[in-house]
This record gives sequence, structure tokens and C-alpha cells, in this order.
Amino acid sequence: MNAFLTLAATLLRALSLESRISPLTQEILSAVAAILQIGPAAQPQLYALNDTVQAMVKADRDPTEAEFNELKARSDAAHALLQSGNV
Amino acid sequence: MHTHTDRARYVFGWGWGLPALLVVSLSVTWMALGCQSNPLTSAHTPLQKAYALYGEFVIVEEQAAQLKSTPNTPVALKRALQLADARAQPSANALLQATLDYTAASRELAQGTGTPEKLQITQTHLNQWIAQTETDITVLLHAVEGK
Repeated sequence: MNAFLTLAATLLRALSLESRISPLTQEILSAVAAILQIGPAAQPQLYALNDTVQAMVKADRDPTEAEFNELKARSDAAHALLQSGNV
Repeated sequence: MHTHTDRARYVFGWGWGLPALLVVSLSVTWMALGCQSNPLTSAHTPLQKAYALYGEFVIVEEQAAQLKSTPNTPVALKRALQLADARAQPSANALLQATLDYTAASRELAQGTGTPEKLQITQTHLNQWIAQTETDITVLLHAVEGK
């Protein structure tokens, strides 16, 4: 986990060097850093996505509308959860 | 097609920059875990790349939602996650719409109800989105690597 904290800090430090950075951007970067810290939890989903893409390449086919819509449904659910309620 | 104003927003504003930032965060984590390939680099065609990009964005969004639901997450961080998602999702949805427009135009042409011109327009639109996203991700990766 320390490696991911280091990575997050590196990312934030590199981007914070931008002179145009605003408080809004800083808030967003804190969100990115948090996602980096929990990154290992996303490993199974990344493996699954990678397997799916590699299978498409092997089968020489493009993703279908249904496959895109499946991702959209997941995005909508996550978005609804993120934006729900007052924090 | 984008207007010049839209194009300027994508290039000079956050545009796809924020979704790309979220995706690159996951990619950096992926590389740190010792995984040599990721969905984006595995993809070959524009639609496969769009699928990988959008899929990685969805994974980030799900991780953010999970973090927001965790009781001991600081309120400031929950607000930051909400803000990041609210700003990133429209661009991600625009990429998705470009892919759906392209696949619909391809299907219509195959069925004899579409035109090559329409397919060409949607393909150009999709390629613009992917190129912009790849540029954003490359810039961000270089920033992370200190180049």
C-alpha cells in the first residue's frame, strides 16, 4: 500500500507544479489520490476488462452495442450512488 | 461534429482530461502491480480502444462510489469524489455516444439503409475523441513519470 501512496503523492506533486492549478483542481486531485490508494481493489475488474478486450482482439471483432450499454448501466449506477444524498 | 467552441473546451478545458486523469491513475496502479498490459494497450481497433477507455473509466467510477459509501471516508474527500465524477461523466458519455453513433451507422450501411458519408462522419467523430483522449493520457503519464 505504501507504494500506492507514493505513486499518488508523485502524481499530485507533478500536477501541482502547474502554475494554473486552482483550488477546484486540487479537490479533484485529492479524489484521484484516493482512487490510487484503493487501486488494488480494482484489480479483479481490470483483469476482467483486459480479458474481454483480449478476447475481442483474438476473435477479430469489435464490441457490440449491448456490451457498451452494459458498461453504461454500471456507470449510471455508480454515478447515482456517488451523487446521492448530502455529504 | 463538434463546434469550434466545443473543440476548444475539450482541448483547453478539462474536457477528456479529467476522465483521462482518472483512467491514468488506474493505469499507473496497474503498472505498479506488475501487470505488463492493460485493457487500453491490449485494444487494437478504435472501437476496442473506446471500449477499454470507457471500461476503465467505469471501474474508476465504481471505486469512487465504493469509497464514498465507506462510513469513515472524510466528508471533504466525498465531496471531491462527487465533484470529479460530476465533471468527468459528461465527457465519458460523449465518448460512449460517439461509439454508439458509429456502430449504428455501420449497421445501417450493412442493412442498406445508411450511407457511406454518414459512416465516415461518425468514424471521424469517434477518432477525434479517441485521439484527444490518448493525447490527454500521454501528457498525464509523462507528468507522472516526471518527463
